[in-house]
Amino acid sequence: MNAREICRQGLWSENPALVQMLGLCPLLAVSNTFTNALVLGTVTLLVLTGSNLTISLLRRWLDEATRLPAQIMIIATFVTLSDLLLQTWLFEIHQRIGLFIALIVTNCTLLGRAESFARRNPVRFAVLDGFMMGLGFLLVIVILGLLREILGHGTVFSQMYLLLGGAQQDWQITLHGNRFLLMILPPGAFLSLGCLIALKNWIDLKQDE
Amino acid sequence: MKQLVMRLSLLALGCGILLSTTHALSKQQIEANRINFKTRQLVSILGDTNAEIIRLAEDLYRIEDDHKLLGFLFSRTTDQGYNGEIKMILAVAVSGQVLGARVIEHRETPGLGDPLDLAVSDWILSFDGHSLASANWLVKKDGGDFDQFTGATITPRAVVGALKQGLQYYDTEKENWMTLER
Repeated sequence: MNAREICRQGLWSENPALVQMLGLCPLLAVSNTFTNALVLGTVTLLVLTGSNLTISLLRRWLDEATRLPAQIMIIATFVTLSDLLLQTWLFEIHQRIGLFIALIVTNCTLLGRAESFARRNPVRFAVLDGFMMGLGFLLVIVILGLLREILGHGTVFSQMYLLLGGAQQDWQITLHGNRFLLMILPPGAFLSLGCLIALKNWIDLKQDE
Repeated sequence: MKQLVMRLSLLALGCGILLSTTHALSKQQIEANRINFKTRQLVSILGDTNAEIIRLAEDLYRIEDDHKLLGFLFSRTTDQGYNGEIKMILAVAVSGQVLGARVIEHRETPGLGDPLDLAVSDWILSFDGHSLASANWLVKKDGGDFDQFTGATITPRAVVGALKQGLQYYDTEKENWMTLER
């Protein structure tokens, strides 16, 4: 196990969204705009890194019988913590996607990494793995968010003012005025994700040749 | 076995302490954010005025400018939307004209039913200045004066209906509210 391999797995060969296909519920539901996707992806990354760190620290202390409840408790703690902090610092964003923040607990990527990696590996690798898997998820959800916002709403960075301050239209770039409903609705999320997965597989095939 | 229980309990205790500490530390700020968010919505309804709002009862406010009564601000809820309740606030001038309206809570489909949110579109501003007599309070599809959304009629129909009822409610309650003490 080396650091390079961990990075490659998280970002590409074992990407949680494109290869393991875990955490699809938030991935599909919150990728309707770039801003929403960025916040959800970032919170997921932080929770995943934190839970991997804690679970790896406690790996000799927890045994076979108690590990699952312990892991879920740790993940739920980090999620609740970020939910509270989001309400403290980014209240309006929380008003929008708060429901999905709480649902990060059920994102299988988190328990998956805890089970298959963090509880068997030293802390520095576990943290790197959590970060890279989180980053892999973040990149995919942000790309989906951009794609769906551009095609569906004809804008980029709408509602970024909720994150960066300023007036409502400050960061928004309007590309075209047409709304393409299919992309905004759930089928658009499935179709876009399907295209991304196909693209990744195509690149992999090309490289094998 | 005893050890297992001990360790799990210890972990739960640790998690519990961490969360309750964070909760205790953030509680005030979150409550302040909530009130701030609500007041900002209430005041933004009135546009650029120096008017102030004075609370009379739960979800009922008197709007005054320089101690002169301008109108009232109150909330309305409808369950005629696509998904769950839509909660609105409505400011009405003494004359019965809409000073402003906002949707403050809803669970309509994002991207489809959410143009009712001012952060998404200006639709909710199209009611400003109208009274019961000055417009036909239906969406255009039903022969009225107000736009529906692309691909979504149920949501705007619910809001238009609720605002109309709000104005009717205002007409019946107006006299009462004027006598209410602050």
